Amino acid sequence: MSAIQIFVFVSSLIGLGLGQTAQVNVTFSPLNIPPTATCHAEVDFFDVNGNLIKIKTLALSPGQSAQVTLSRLELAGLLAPAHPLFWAQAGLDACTGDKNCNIKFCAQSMSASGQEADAFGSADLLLPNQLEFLSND
Amino acid sequence: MLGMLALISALLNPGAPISLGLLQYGQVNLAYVPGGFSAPDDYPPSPCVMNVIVFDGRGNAVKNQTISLTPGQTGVLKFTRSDLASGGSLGIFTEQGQVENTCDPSNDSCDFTLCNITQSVEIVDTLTGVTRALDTPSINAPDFDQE
Repeated sequence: MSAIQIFVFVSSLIGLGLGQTAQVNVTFSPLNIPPTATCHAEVDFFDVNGNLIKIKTLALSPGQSAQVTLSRLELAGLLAPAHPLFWAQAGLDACTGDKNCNIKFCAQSMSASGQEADAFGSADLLLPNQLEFLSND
Repeated sequence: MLGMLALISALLNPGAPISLGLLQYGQVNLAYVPGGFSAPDDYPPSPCVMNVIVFDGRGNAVKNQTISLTPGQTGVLKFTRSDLASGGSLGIFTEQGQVENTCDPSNDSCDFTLCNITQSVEIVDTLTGVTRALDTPSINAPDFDQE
């Protein structure tokens, strides 16, 4: 179950073609945040039926980045249709028990993006962030 | 006359025109993103109802689908070059997606603009399933557009 408290990135629903993987990149800027800080990020992938099929939690320090990938095999198995659909989201988890974590600082420093890559790992499609279209109050 | 044109443009505000090539198909994807977005005192209708229309290069509505979604659900409208044939040979299309206001007018807490639905338009290679182009047009809220 997703534990995201503050959303930073939400993709639209999109398909993966042959040889492609989905990738979500997460970065914490080192600006405006103490160097000893830790931020707890989470990346989730959902299938076309809304099932959470992959969840990855990350503990990152200022300046660090991470990439979370989803393959067609993970998305739809060996018998995947030609164009299995997914969507992804990324954000911040609560700082529970971590004295070096301040979720407000983390929210100001975190950025995330989505892309699809071909079989060689080369990005061939950017996934725009849909968060601006959602009522994120 | 200009006022009439402005009204028509407000009512009908499709996305940018794109064209489908040979061995490609188009697909409109909708996803109702669950959780964490709603305003505290208001809530969206349940389900949220989307109307999706695909127009060919001459403005004919060639595909039209009404899709009801609850959080976590998705909807897909697929179309091919042959669906666009009435608009000419170039495979040009535009797409429009709108959230319908299904709130009971007497219910002040219901707000259809809180339907957290993302929309994407893909152009997909038929053989490989690879998305060659992606557009993510905003979803129109018709009541606001007409103001």
